[in-house]
Amino acid sequence: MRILLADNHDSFTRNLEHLLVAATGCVPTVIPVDRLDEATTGWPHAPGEANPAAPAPRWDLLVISPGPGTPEEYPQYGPLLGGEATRVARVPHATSATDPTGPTGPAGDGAQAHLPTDPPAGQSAETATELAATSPTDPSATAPTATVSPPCAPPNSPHCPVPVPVLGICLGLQIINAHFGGVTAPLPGCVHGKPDTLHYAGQVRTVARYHSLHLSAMGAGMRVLAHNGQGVVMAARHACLPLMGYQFHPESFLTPDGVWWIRHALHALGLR
Amino acid sequence: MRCTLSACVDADAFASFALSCARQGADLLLCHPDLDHANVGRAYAGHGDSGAGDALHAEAAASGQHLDPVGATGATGATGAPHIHTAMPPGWTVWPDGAGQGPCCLVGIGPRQELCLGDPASGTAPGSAHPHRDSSPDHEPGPHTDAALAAFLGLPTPAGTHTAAPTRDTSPLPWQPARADHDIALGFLAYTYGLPRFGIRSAKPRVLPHALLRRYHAVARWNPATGALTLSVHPNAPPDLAARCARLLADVPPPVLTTPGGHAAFTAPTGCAVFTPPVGCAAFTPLAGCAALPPSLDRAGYTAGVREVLCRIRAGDTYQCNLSTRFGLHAPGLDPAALSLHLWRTRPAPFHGLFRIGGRHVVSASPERFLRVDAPGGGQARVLSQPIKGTLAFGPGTPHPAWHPGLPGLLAATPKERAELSMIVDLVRNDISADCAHGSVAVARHCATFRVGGVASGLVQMYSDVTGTLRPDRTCLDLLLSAFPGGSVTGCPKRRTLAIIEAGEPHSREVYCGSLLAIADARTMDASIAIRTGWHDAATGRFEHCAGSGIVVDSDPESEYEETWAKAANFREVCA
Repeated sequence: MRILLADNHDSFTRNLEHLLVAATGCVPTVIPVDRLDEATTGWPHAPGEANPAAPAPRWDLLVISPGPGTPEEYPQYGPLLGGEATRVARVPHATSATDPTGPTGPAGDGAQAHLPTDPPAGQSAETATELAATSPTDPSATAPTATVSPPCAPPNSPHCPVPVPVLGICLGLQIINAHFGGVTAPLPGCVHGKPDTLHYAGQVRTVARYHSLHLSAMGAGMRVLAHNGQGVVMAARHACLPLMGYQFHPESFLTPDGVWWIRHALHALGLR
Repeated sequence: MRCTLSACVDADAFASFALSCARQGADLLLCHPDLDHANVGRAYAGHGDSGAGDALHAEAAASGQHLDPVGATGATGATGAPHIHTAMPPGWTVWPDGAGQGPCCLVGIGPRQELCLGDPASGTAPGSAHPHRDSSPDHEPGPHTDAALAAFLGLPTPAGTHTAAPTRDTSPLPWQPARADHDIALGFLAYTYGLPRFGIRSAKPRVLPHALLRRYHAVARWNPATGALTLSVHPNAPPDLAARCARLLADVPPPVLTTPGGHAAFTAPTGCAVFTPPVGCAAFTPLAGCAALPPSLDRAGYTAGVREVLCRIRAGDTYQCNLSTRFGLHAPGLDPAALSLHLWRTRPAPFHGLFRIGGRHVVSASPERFLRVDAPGGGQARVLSQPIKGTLAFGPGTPHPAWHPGLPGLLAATPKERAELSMIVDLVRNDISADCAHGSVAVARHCATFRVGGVASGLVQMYSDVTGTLRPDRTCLDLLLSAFPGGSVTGCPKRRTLAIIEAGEPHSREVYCGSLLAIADARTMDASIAIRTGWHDAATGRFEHCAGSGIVVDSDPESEYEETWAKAANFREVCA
C-alpha cells in the first residue's frame, strides 16, 4: 500500500509513521504540509472533470497528521477532499459558539442549512438523500455506533470524487469536517495527554486525547462514529466518501490498540 | 601509541584532581559521585548535610519500593499501574569500544581540536583564534553547520529531516568505533543551535556560541564504581602536557577508605564526609559582595507570560510550553571551576558539566539525560531518552512541610503532572522515531519517581525511559539533531511552541535547555538536557542562569512561578 502522510508540523507525525508501518507493513512517505503539492500534482482537483491526461494517483491513502491551530489555517487540503463542488460555506469560527456538551447543538442547524444544493457529479440521488438523513440533527446519526457503511464508489474509481481515501487524525479529522461545513470550536477544559475510554465495536477501548478544539457541529454528510462519555465526537466519517477521522490519537503510547484503530479505518475506507 | 596511567581514588580526591585540572582550563563532565544513590534505601551519606538528612533518607528506605529496573520494563502507560520509585538516572555513560560500563566522570585536558560555531565573541578577539577554530563571526546554524559538526566528528553529513538536504544513501554505515578515551569529543549544543531549523531567527543578544566540540590531548576518567582514575593521552600530545598530567595524577591522595571489594568508599569512616580539598585548592566559598541583577521576567512578568501561554493552549496552538526566566548575578570574582565542583559535592546530580570558552564558563548541574546511544559488543545501537516532568515540592512553606514516604505516590497519581510527562513521552517518541528502526520505539518505567539529589532540594520528580534501536544508516549525530532541542524543555507540538517561547521570553536561553555532549563515535554518545545550568563571563562579571516550568492547560501561574523559583535555588543559594 502506498501511503502519503502529510505532516502539519506536528510532533506526533513520526509516531503515526511508525504506527502505520506496524499496521500495514508499508512505510509511508512523509511530506510537510507546505510541500504537499509536490506529492499531489496531477490529482484531479474537481470531481467529474476527469482529465484523461492526468496521471493516476500515486497513493492509495492520504493520512492527515495532527497539528496545531484550526482547520482554517490549512486550506491546502481542500482540493484533496472532494473538490470545490462539495465545498460549502463555512460557519465562521468566531460565531460558532456553541454548546459544549456535544455535537448536536444549535450550530448543527447552521451546518445543515449549508447542505450542498448541487450534489457532486457521480453521486446518485440516494446519496443525496443519505446526506440529508445523516445530518447532525438526526439522533440516529449521532448515536455512538461502530457500523460503517461501505463507500458509495470504490476508491480511486473514475466516479469517486475523492482522489484518494483520507484518514485524518485530530486536526486531520477537524479539517475533513470543516471542509463540509462542520464547526471546530474550543473544548471547555482542554484535554492533553490524558487517556479516555470509548465504547466502540463492542468493546471498551482506551484512547489518548490531545485536543483544545473539538467538532461542535458536523459537516454535511459527516457521520459520527463514536462519542466519549461527555458527548465529544471521537470518531467520524463521511457517509459516502472515503474520508474518516479520529479525534483521539491512535499513535500515542497511551492508546494500547493503535494498530487495531488503523486497520479498522483501512477497512472502513475500503482498503482492506 | 597511547599512554594510560591510573590510580585508585575516592570522590573527594577526584574532586580535588578535577578542580586542579579545571583551574588550568580543563573541561569536565561529572556523573553522580555516589553509585549508591541508585539505591533508595541508602542514605546519600550527607554531603555536608546534618544527620537530619540521613533520617529523611531512612524514612525513604522504609517506604521505597526499590525495583529492579530490568524487571520493571514493559508497561506502556496505563494510568493505574503502580509507579516505581527509583533514583535519578545514573549519569554520563560513554565508553569507547564497549570497554566498560556504568557512569563515569570525564576530564578533558588540553584541547587538540576544536569546533566553535557562532561565537559572538569571535569577532572581537581575532588573535585568540585556535588553529582549528572556525572564526566566522556569523554562524547561523543550518545544514552547513550540521555538516561541520559531522565533519569534526568524522561522521557522514546528517540526512536533515527538517532541511532540504538530499536524502542520504540508506545502506548501513560502516562503523569505526572509537578506541580510547582521548578520542571522545566533549562539548555542547546551545538551545539557540536548534532554532533555525524550526524557522526561528533569533536576534536576542548572546554571550555563548551556538555549538562547541573539542577533542583533547588527554582525557582522565574516574569510575565511581571502582575508584579507578585513568588518564588516556594522545600519542601526539606535547610531552610537557603528558608529564604535567602524570604529576597531577601522582598528587592525587590515596582513597580514604577501601572496602573489601576493592571499591573506593564514598564516605569517610565517620559517615559524614565533607569536601576538604588538599592544601592549595581552596574550596568554593560563598561570594561576599555579590549583587543580584533583575531577572528577565519577575513574578509579575512571568505569571503574565504563563497566562498568555494558557491562551495559546486553549486556542489549540500548543499542549505544553516551557516558559523560563533568567536570573543574573554580578559576581566578578566568581571561580567557575570551584563553583562546579562545589555543586557536584553538595548537590550531586547525574549530569554535571563545566566548559570554558575563553573567559566564559558554562556550569551545569543537570539531573536529566537527553539521549544516550551505545552499541554493546558492536551490535545494534540502542537509544535511550529519559525525559523528566512533573514536580512535587515539599518542605517549609509548601503543602507538604516534610518529606513523607507517600509523596512519590502522590505525585505519580496527580493527573496534571502525569499528563505533563505523558505528553513529553509522546513527543520524545516522535523525535527519536525519525532515526530509529520502525517498531523499535518503546516506553518503559512510565512515571518513575525520584527525589532530586541533595537533601536540600525538596523536590520529587518523575521520568520515563523511552527506548529505540538506531537505524543502521543513521548516526548518533543524526539522532541528536533530529530531536534537538529536547522536548521536555520546549513543549509540544515543538515547532509552534518554540515560536511561542521565542516571543514570550525576553532573554536568549543560550546554553540553557541545550545539551552537554560526549560523543565517542557514530554509535556512542551521551547527552544531557542543560537545565540547572548557568554561565559566567569574566569580561562582565555576570553570572546568569535560567529556570523554567512546563505550562499545561491546568497550570496555575503563581504555582509555576514558585516552581521556577525553587529550581533556581541551586545557583541562587550557592552564589548569593
